[in-house]
Amino acid sequence: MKSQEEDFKRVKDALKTAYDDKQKTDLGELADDMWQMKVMRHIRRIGPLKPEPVLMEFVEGWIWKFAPVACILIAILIVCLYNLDLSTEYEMAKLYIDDPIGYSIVKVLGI
Amino acid sequence: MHCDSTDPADSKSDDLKIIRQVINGNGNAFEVLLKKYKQHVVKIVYRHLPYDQVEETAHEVFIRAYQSLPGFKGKSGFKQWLSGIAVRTCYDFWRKKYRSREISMSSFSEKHKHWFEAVTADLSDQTFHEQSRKKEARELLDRALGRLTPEDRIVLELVYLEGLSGKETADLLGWSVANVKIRSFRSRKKLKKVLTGLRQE
Repeated sequence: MKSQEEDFKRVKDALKTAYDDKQKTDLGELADDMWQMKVMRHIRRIGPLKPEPVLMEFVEGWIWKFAPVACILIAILIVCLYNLDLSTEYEMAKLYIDDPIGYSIVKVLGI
Repeated sequence: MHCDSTDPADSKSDDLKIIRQVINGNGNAFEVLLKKYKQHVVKIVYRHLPYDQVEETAHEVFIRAYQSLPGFKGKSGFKQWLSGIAVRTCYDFWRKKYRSREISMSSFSEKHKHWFEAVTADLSDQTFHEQSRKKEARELLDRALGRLTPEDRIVLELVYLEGLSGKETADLLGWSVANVKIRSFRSRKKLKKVLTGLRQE
């Protein structure tokens, strides 16, 4: 008694043959000269193409090459800032004491 | 096969010259490429779509190709690049139909069940091939494919029915190889389920 797997394989092979046979259909009448004219008419309606700016192409090509380097630099900066033990409140207080006018300007500008 | 990896160098350089002219504003030069590759595109589209949709879809393929020309890098030949656009346009066709629920979920008829029984019976090779060539085979295939999602359908057609590799399929569709492999496994399982359902009806 044949297994289901064998049956499925026969059906699959038969369907593949049916799919392949479809390719043997003569398609000569499709995409004739009238069709070609219609496509070109559409293309003329779209108009001339705008080429990609050379600079953009150059930038696009190079920008991703620097991405890993940029990520490493950012990671190093984060580690350095963490190790410097910067405290913004302390820096603001120091600025207020040393340079009250400067502190007022910073506060007004919202920096 | 969709792609021809043995494109003569002359043909490739001719295509590049024309592409440069088109990109520089001479849209009429595109007609040379259109005439050269229209049958190639029609053959690809006919593999995936019904006959009455081929011309309209092939038209769409060339419009997309024209509009995307500034982005053509020339790594693979123009023919290979155009093949990718054709396959993706066919995929988009089924996606639109699927979203608008236009695909009929017609059940299999008695003649399809008889065909199924005939194929799974112990037939001689000649009779088997005769069965494979019958109209019912093509109809059954269309109905079975219609029950798959567009993604599963296109991958099944390219990998299992046309015999393309995972990499070739991924290149044509612009997907990752991993995505294609997962889809081809799933689509095969689903097709098996559909055909098993027919057997049990």
